[in-house]
Amino acid sequence: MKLKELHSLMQDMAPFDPSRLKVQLEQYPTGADIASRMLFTIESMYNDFEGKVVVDLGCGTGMLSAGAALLGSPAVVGVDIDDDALAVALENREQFEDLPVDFVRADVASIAARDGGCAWRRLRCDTVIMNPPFGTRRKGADVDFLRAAARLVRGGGGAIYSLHKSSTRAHLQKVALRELGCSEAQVLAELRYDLPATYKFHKQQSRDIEVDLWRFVVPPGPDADEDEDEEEGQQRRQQPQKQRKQQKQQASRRREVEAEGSGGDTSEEDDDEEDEEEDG
Amino acid sequence: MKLLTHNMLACTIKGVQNGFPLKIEAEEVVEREADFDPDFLRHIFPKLEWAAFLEGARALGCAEGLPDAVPEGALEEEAFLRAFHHALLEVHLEEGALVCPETGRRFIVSKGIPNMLLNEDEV
Repeated sequence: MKLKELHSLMQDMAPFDPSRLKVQLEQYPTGADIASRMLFTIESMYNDFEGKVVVDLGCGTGMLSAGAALLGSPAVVGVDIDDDALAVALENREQFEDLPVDFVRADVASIAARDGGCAWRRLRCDTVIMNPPFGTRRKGADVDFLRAAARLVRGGGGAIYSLHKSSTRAHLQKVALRELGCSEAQVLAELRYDLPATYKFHKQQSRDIEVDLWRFVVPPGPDADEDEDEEEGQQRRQQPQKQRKQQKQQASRRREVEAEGSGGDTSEEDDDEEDEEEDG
Repeated sequence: MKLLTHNMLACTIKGVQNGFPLKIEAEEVVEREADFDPDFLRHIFPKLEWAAFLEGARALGCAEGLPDAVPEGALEEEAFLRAFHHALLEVHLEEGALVCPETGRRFIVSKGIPNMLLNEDEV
């Protein structure tokens, strides 16, 4: 499918019902322009739709979900908390015959939170696409979405494509690489997001916001933070943790003795602090 | 929703250890044709929790041709791949519920959309 063709199909899709917009969810339309360009870039550069399971987090009216399926994903799952938006998404899906898109009503933040011992057995997706809230109404909402996305591609590994305000670039890079265990965090394109005056508090008619299209890569294998959810993982970890605590206690006792004798050795104290960080 | 989607969902109520797989109560099941793609089936098979999938297929009445344990080489056989494809991608739970195996909490499925939202006291 050509970019032009995708763009024109997306232009025909219905937007949010303006009388049912929810400001706390930062529901802004993903325009046909930006959506088609985003999706086309992903498929043409990385082939991450064809033959892949795709999840669209905060799918809203299902624009990106439908686009991913049109570009060759055999199974897309759109997740959103808002049933009004999902009702529109269903209508949009009906425009295309047998489009392989399912929708699930769920709170993306609850996917980001620890999700019980069952988590590791669940099927993960290959690719996450999302146009998340920018975190202007609820601070951290953007990072919550990214955390949830990382959780969904963990196991087999995969890629996350997401739109974020350019002003948060340095922060996101840090979170992705240090906290979420991504092996790559790369800005593929800088886009201008034409934000029409959607809500009452918008004073200007419309405003261009600078937005980055990101690609995050999550390598295969369990993540340290997920590990604690797993029953097996817990058993595996409890033992060494206990041992480490004992070792630490011994070490600190030893240090007290040494401190009395030699007047203190700070290097071991540093080691100890690092240990504590690992345990937390 | 398809059984592929069912394989992704779990009950995440606070404190629940075994919220997967969700049991399916089927009221209305529909079929929609999907493109047959053996490469995709081979790609997804090792990621899938087979027992959960099979249990779901039985609940939706589309388990024919799906063995308890998939023998080696089955992914090269047309008959198995067709049965697998059909149950995974073409059969949809339209109305019904998903039930947490540990707590019995029911998640309603309406118009094909499971409502996995938790109440405040469940988070």
